[in-house]
Amino acid sequence: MTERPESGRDRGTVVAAVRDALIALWPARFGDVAIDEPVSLGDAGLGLDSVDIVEFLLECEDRLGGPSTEGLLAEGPVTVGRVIDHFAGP
Amino acid sequence: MIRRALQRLAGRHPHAAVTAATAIGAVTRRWAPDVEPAAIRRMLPDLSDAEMRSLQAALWTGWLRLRVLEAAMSSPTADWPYPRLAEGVAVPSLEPPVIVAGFHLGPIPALGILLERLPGETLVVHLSGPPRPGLTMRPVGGDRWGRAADFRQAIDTLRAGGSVFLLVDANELPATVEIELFGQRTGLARGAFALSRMTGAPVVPVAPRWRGSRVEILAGDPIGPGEEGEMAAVAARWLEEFIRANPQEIGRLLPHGIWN
Repeated sequence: MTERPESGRDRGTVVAAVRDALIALWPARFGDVAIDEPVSLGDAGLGLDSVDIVEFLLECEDRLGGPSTEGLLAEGPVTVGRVIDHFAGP
Repeated sequence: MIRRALQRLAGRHPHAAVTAATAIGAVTRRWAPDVEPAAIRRMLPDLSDAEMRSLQAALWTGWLRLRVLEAAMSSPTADWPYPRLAEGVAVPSLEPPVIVAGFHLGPIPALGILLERLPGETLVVHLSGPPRPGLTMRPVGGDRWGRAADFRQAIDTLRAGGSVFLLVDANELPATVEIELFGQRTGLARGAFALSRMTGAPVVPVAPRWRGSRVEILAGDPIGPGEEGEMAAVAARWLEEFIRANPQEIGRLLPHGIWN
């Protein structure tokens, strides 16, 4: 099971942090790409490879102070929305 | 038939089986199949016809010995983890945290001799293989998410002071970094180099080679941390030098994606 925060963060703060993480890591890469919640981090969406995906998730952890995203990967394809849910909590 | 007989022998007397494979390979060298001569020529265009025949015979022997190693490693009856080290050679001494970068060269299972000597936890990301004492074995993920999970565990291992082994000549994967090898553009898996960039641990290229019926493990100088492409270029130069000096060890590399 994915580790979740006990208390939810403000969702808007998380959305902004996730978006900022993507732009900070790859400033010119997503100019015309919508970073909406249903978008996959992988092939059908942002096109991140396996290394990029981990680097992005670690960047999000750093910006939001955890929790660890390790469990997200064990559960299969990850979308932007799942990343936000993970950090925003239930 | 020869292969099956050697594999049966490997299950009970693995060292004898390696010696037998070496001898049988030499005796039957005239039967050595044409092993991708075009691929060999792409790497080593200056080989004479006689050198090519000699190399193909050596590849035949290497192929037999590798089948013996694989059979022995997976045998429940062979109390034998690895082939014997050649006399007078030392196992490279590496200091964790380190990223040990292997290639599809030579008797790959013999790299366990090096990995099991590393202090601390050592994560081995591999395609197949039996459990080994002292090593954390992780079958490589089958898709992007599985490979990302592999990569995440590798980062955690290095950050905890451990070491990671992975094969880097796997350019059929989408996460590659472009390199030049023998004058051709190709790719190496970027994972090892990204790990170095993200954790500060160096990459050390390694490859085993046969010395008669025994083995030796060679290691390059530590690479990085640095920019992924620059590190990969250094690793590619080391790989090219190893192949030029040890062309008999390329048997497993030839059908591999790096040449296609």
